[in-house]
Amino acid sequence: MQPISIYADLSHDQYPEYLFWVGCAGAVDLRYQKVIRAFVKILQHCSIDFGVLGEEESCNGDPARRAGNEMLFQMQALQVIETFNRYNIKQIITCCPHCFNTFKNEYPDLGGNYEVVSHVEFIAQLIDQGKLIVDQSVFKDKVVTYHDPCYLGRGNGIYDAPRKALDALGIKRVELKENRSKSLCCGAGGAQLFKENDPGTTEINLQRTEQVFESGASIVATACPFCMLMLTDGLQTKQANSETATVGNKDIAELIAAAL
Amino acid sequence: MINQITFILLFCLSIAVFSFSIYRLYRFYLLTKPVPYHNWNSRIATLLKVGFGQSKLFRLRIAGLLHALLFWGFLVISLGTLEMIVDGFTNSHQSFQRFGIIDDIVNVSILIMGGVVLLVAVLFLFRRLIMHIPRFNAPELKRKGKREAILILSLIILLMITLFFITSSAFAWWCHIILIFVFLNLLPYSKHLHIITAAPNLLLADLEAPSKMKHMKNIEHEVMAMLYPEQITEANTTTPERFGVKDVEDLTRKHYLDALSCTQCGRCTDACPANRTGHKLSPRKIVMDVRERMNEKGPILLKNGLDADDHKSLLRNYISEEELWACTTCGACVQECPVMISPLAIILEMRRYLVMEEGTAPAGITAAFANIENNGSPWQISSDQRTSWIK
Repeated sequence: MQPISIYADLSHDQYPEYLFWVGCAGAVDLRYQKVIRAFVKILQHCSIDFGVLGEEESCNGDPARRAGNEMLFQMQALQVIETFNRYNIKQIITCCPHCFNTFKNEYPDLGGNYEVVSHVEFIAQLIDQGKLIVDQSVFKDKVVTYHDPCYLGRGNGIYDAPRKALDALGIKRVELKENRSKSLCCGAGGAQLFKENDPGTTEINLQRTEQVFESGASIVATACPFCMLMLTDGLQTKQANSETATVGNKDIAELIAAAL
Repeated sequence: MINQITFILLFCLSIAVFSFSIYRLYRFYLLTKPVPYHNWNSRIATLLKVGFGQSKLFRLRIAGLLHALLFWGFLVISLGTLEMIVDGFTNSHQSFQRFGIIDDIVNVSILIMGGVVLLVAVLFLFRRLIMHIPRFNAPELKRKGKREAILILSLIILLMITLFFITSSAFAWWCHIILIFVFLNLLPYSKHLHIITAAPNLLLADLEAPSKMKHMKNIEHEVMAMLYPEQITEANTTTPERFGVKDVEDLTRKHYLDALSCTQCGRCTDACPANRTGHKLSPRKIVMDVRERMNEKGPILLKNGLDADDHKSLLRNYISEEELWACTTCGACVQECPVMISPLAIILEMRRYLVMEEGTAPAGITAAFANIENNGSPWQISSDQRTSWIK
C-alpha cells in the first residue's frame, strides 16, 4: 500500500480532492479492515487524490440517532461538521451505507452540505469512465450474488451501481430470492448490532443466509460493514457443522481489488 | 314527489351523520402537531402515480391487480352514483341521457366495471374465508377487523348486484342508494376509511429519502449550549416540549393521518424482518395502535384539555418497549405500504421519547451511547486504532 494522506499532516494547499471516510468498522473489525485496504488499493490504482482523517475521525452519530439519542447524534454531527469545515472538505467517499446516508440526507439539516458518494457508486463510475479496467479472468464463471444493504437500496435507491461493478468482473451473477427494494435486512441496522437479542424463532441474519444458500452462489457480495458482520456470522453459524465452508462473503471492493 | 322528498331526506341524513363522524376524527387530528408541506408538484405526481396508478399495490402482482381493478371500477361506477343522486334530487330518470353518446359509453363502462368489481369482491371474499393467507390471520388482527373485512366485501357484492338492475327496477334503485348511504357511514368507524384518507395521505406523504430521520430543531439549542456554552447569551426560558412520542398527542398530524389510512393489509408486517423471525414487532400493529389509542384518548383530551391524563399511554399500554427495540430501521415496511404510511417514523419517535425523556434503552445500546460519547465510536476503541488498518 502506498502512503496515505492524513489531513492533519497536510498544509492548507495540499488538501486532497476527496475525503475517504473510513468509518468505525474499519477501525475495530479486523475482517472489515481488509475491505478498507481493498478499496484504498482501488483508489490508489486509479490515482484518485484522496485523504483520510485518521485519529480525527469520530462516529457521525447514526447509531445514536436511530436508537433515539438525538442529543448525542447532534453533538457528534456538529463536531464532525466542524472537522470537515476545518479541512475545507467538499467531497466524501465512504464504504459505510449508514455513514453515507447520514452525511447525504441528514447533515444538511445541521448546515453540513457535501457531495457524498458511496464506494460502490464510485467504483461503478470509475469503470464507466474507463479509469478502472477489471481483469475478468480472476473470478470467471464464479457464481456471485449480491445482498442489497437497506441504507443503499431502499434508503437511497442505489441498486444498479453495485450490480454493474460485479458484472464487470465477468462473474455469473444470480439474485437472491428477495432482492433490490424487497431485500431482506441483515438484522444489524437501527443500532440492533449493539443490542442483546430478544427472543425470536430464528435470527434475521440466519434467514438471509439461507436465501444465500438457495441462490446457489459461492460468494455473497456485500457493500456494508454491518451486513458483512451479520453475514459472516450467519455463514459461520450455518456452515459450522459442514466439513468445508463452501460459501464466503466479500465486499464488492475486495472482489474488484483482487481483479486489478 | 314522495320519492323525491324521501330521497332528499335520506341523502341529507346520510351526509349529516357522515360529516359528524368525519368532524370527530378531524378534531382528533387537530390534537396532533402540525407539519409544514412544500413541493406540491411532486406531491400531486405521487398522488397520481401511487394513488390513481396504484403503483405500489402492484408489488404483489395478483392481489395488486385485483385491488386496482376494484379501485378503477369504483371510479367509473361513481359516475353512475352521481347520476342517481341528480335523479333523486330532481325526481327524474337517468338525467345524464342528455349527454347522448358519452352517457351511453359511460353506462356500458359502468356495467362492465360492475361485473369486474363483483368478480374481484367474490375473489377477495374467497381469499378471506377459504385461503389461509398468514397476513390476514396475524395476532394483531382482532375479530372486529376480520368481521369488518367480510362485511365490507359482502356490501360491495350487494352493491354490484343491485347496480345491474337500477334502471329496470325501482326497488333495486332504492336498495342500491341505501346501501351506498350505509357503506358511506360505516367508513369512518372501520378500517375501510382508507377510501377517503388514502388520497390525502399520498398527497402529504414524505418525499424525502426513506432512510432520512426527521431533524429535531428543538434539540439544537440544548446541544449548542453544551458544545459552545460561551456562544449562548440568552437563557432558554421557554418550557421545553416533550421530546419524542409517548402518547397520541405527541404525534404529528401526518402520523395520525397514516393511522387513519391503514386498511390493515399487512404487507408491512409480512416484509418486516423482525416479525418474520418471530420477534415482537408488527409495523401494522404500531399503526393500528395509534388509531385505537386516539379513539380512547381523543375524547378525553377534547373534553378535559390537552393536559388531561387517563394514566395510560400509547407507550406501554399499547406498544411495548420490546416492540420498539426490535426494529432494524430497514425501511421494508415503508417500502411496501401501498398508501405510503411510515410505521418506522412512529417507532423512531417513540424511541426518542424513551431515551431522551426516560433515559431508558437496552443495556447494549446504553453502552454504545457511552462509547460514542467517550471514544467517538459505538465500539470501545481508542482513537489511535483508527489508523491501525494502514499499518
